Amino acid sequence: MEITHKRMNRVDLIQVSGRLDAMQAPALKQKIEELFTEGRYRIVLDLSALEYVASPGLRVLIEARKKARDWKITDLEGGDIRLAGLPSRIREVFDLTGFTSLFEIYPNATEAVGSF
Amino acid sequence: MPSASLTVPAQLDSLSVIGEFVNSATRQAKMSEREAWQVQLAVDEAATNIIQHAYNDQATGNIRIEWSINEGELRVTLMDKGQPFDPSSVPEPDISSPFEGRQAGGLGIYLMHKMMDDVQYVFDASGNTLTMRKRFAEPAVADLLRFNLSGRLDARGTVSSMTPINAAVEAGARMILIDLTHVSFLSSSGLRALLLVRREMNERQGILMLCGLQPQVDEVFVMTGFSQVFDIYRTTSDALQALSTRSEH
Repeated sequence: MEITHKRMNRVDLIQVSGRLDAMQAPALKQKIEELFTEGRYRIVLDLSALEYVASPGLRVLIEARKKARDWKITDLEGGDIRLAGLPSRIREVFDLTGFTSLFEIYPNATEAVGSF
Repeated sequence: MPSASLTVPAQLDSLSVIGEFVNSATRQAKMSEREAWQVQLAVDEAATNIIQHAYNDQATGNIRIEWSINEGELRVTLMDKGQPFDPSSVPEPDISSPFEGRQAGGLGIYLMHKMMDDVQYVFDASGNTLTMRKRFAEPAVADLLRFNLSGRLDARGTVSSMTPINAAVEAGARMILIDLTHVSFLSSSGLRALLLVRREMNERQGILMLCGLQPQVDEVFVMTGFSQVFDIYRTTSDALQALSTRSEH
């Protein structure tokens, strides 16, 4: 799995490619935690190059989103983790596990970033 | 009855070896790409559970994985000698629960059940044994997709001509016959597009046949050496004949 990171003005964009299974999930968790530590809580995960996801990957996503949303940037906005570009197999796993309704999912990174 | 077994340490970095092992099973079963992915995910989840829970604080133990194919069913068994772990003891996740209440537990087991037709668990003197089964369909002649191309398969014509074929490949087609009787011209673009289809068919142990090549089109295949690489028949009926002979074996 490869993770690339691009810092924008308000939002951080992380691209994940390859396999997100039990072996690889900790690296993604760590990257997101690093951003939290830097006070960055608006994150887009671009999953368009993700080939495969297993439940440990799903766990990282949901726990990260919970943490992002708990953090209040101002009284009005919290943080969030939004997803972009789900490939069809990934989408299928999301649909099966009800994860599709647990995240804001955008067709591509640009729209996801723009949603913040 | 094809079968194989593998023993690996119950560690996370065994997951990719296990994945490859399952890959060889699904290839031999000639499963569709989707079915193969379903088996991959189920075994990945099962192995992950064992790796994360079976041996806990002890020095790590092993996982033994076996697969066998019998009459349209793939059976995969995972065995370990760690502490008893019954997947059915884990409560099913509430997948309709809203975000605030949603927990991450139980997803792996849930996915295992969704991906496979049957999941059984036994704990006895030999340890934990998890058996998963998946039935799969053998491709039949009735599943053959036929395409008639016409005109020029050059840089411009190839894109539109190949679109329905590529869509079928994307959707998991396993048997394709392309009739080139009305194709008047083939350039490297057309050849390249056909090669991509062929590669995809090879990867899923599928069948790609070409027929009805006009002399000038056939010559392109011969000159480039690709007439040896493709399954080429003179007529459609020759191709269908070869297909039904093949499926008798």
